[in-house]
Amino acid sequence: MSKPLISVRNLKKYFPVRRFLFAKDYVKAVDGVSFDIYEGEMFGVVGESGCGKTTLGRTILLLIPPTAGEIYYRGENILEYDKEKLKEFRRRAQIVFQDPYSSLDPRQTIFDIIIEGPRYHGIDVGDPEEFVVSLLRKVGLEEYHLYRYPHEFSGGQKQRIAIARALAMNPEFIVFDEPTSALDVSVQASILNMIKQLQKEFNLTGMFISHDLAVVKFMSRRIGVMYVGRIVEIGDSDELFKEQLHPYTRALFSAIPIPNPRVTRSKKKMIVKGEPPSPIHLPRGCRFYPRCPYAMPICRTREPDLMEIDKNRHVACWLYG
Amino acid sequence: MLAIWVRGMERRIFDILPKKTFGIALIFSSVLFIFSTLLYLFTRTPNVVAIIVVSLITYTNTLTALFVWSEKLRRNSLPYIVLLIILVAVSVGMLVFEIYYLLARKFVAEIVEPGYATLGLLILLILGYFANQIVEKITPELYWRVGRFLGEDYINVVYVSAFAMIGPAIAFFGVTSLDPYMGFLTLLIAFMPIPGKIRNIRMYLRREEIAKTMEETIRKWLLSIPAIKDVPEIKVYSLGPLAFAEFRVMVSELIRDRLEVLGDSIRVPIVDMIGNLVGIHAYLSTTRDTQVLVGIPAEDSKVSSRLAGKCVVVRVDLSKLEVIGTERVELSDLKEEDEILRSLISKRLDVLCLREVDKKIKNYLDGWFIIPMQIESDTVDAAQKELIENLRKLIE
Repeated sequence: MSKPLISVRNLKKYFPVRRFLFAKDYVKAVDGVSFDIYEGEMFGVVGESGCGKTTLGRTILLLIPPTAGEIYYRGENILEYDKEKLKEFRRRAQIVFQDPYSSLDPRQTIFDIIIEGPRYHGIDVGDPEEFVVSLLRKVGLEEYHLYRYPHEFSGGQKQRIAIARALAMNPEFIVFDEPTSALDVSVQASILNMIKQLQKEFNLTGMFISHDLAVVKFMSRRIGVMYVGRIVEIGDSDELFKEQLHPYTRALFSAIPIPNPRVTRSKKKMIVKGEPPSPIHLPRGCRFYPRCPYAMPICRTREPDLMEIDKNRHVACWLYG
Repeated sequence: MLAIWVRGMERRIFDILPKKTFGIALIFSSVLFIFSTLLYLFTRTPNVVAIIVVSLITYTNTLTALFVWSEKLRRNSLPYIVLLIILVAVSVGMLVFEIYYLLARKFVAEIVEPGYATLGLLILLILGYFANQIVEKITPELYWRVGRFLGEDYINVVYVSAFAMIGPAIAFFGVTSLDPYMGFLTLLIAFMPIPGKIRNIRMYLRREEIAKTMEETIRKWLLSIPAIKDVPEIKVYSLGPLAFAEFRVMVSELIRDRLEVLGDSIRVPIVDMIGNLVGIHAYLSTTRDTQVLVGIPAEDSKVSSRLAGKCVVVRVDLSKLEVIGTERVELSDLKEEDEILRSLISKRLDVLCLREVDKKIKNYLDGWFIIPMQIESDTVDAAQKELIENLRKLIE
């Protein structure tokens, strides 16, 4: 395996919520997350809505400052970067947002949207028009789209523009934050195929965030499963789909609908009871124990760390501790 | 604060809220009370009387915690209720007297040094806020609900001080005639914590009933762990909204080496679950004078190589190391390994014999303080003999 491009260690992002005057409680959106993303790989992050996937992606890119922890880019802690190095990191690390309808400036033409980043960073792109047209072609758009405004495009086309904007910076690392969730199914496949093709072409390293397990499997070689601010399991996508170790992962994967009534009938579904806990008042010990069918007394006392139990397989569960 | 020590085959778990929490809460209450009294003597504004009352009220929650915390005091709770009634009665008396005084004197302004009064009330507001924050912060995280309970009365000081500042502040700009009217309103606001205190006094009358409910909750939870054979003694002392739990549990001799882990597994969830406990004293004793249940997965008379839906449960007298009965259990509707394990745990097994023990099963059984025992025998009869031999080695 190649070297890690991004390494995250014990990353935390707490959002304060006011309780009384200056007294605060904290929403623990990301709470002690550690993992590596290797060069050239697309690392998938899955989990139910509100589990902290988007916050994790944005914190890694320093779009929001972390509360604690370390983020390493090529072995250097980006939290210790000076202004110049940070600017360079921001050029090298890009994001494609979830909602293409709000992530593009409606008052700018597509040309301005795409060229804005390289201009700000002083990147020599040769002829700007030629550069933008070449990028548009790479994402399946044409030259005549150059001076149009975002409202003249469909959702899928807008997301292609957002991807072209990210690629314009010649990035090494891109966070794809549910790039297809706002699009209809017919458009999703073409966008996903395009991202996959571009990843190969540009040798991109990425983090693909989604709550759609099939999409993450298609896009990623390794997958991390998140539950209420923590990564509970990491594994190769094929292995993870074959056998889930953490009870939450099992529950999540057993919810995948199978388009075969016979298989659906014979397959035993694991349904977890209740709702996820409040990220303000998390349960002591493992945060999944109130819903876990395999909860043991120790789960109520101590929170398990992510443990390596096999090559490329990590799980945070006392069953494997 | 946790202390565990071993005396023979007994382990005592002693987990209690640290003394400094009460000390600091009492210091804050005293500072607030003394400062507000001096401020009243210096400024003569009825607004400050309201603060004296709410400062006095801040003693009540700390006293409740202190009485239930102290081993001597909790055994005789009569002084607690007498003190609580006196504090509430004095507070109500002061408020009523001051209101009567204002009405009788037809709201004549007596305020002097309104600037100092405003400044003093601002200091009281800040003190109240810091008291709330510091008391909550120094309370250990496990007891965060008790910390909130201890800190909540200081919030009354904050909002009553904020309201009380209005009269003296207006008087500072020359309009002294409004001060008694604002004082009247502040005194009415200061009544707000009183119903809560009266509820606590009423709760005292139901303390036995509340304690019984908590005892049942704790007992039920303890007995959900198969290794705990009995809870011969359990006593919950309940005062107002707080409580203290003392209990003794009997566990089988088989897990004597894991008493510390078991203690930790008992301590944290009970404090966390009950929420209003200020501490627990638990005594864990091992006993050989008990029966243990051993599960052997078996199809007919043959021992299964792996965990199966059919199982023989053997009852063993641990003191004599004799089989005193067997029972066949069928879990035919359960297919998954984990489901079978969970079902066996619900049958309160102490030992599970398996020919192959993988790490996951071992961890799961360990987590429930069930001993995973690897056996080699093919038949149930031979397995029973092997089991007795293994048990003998285990306890000797």
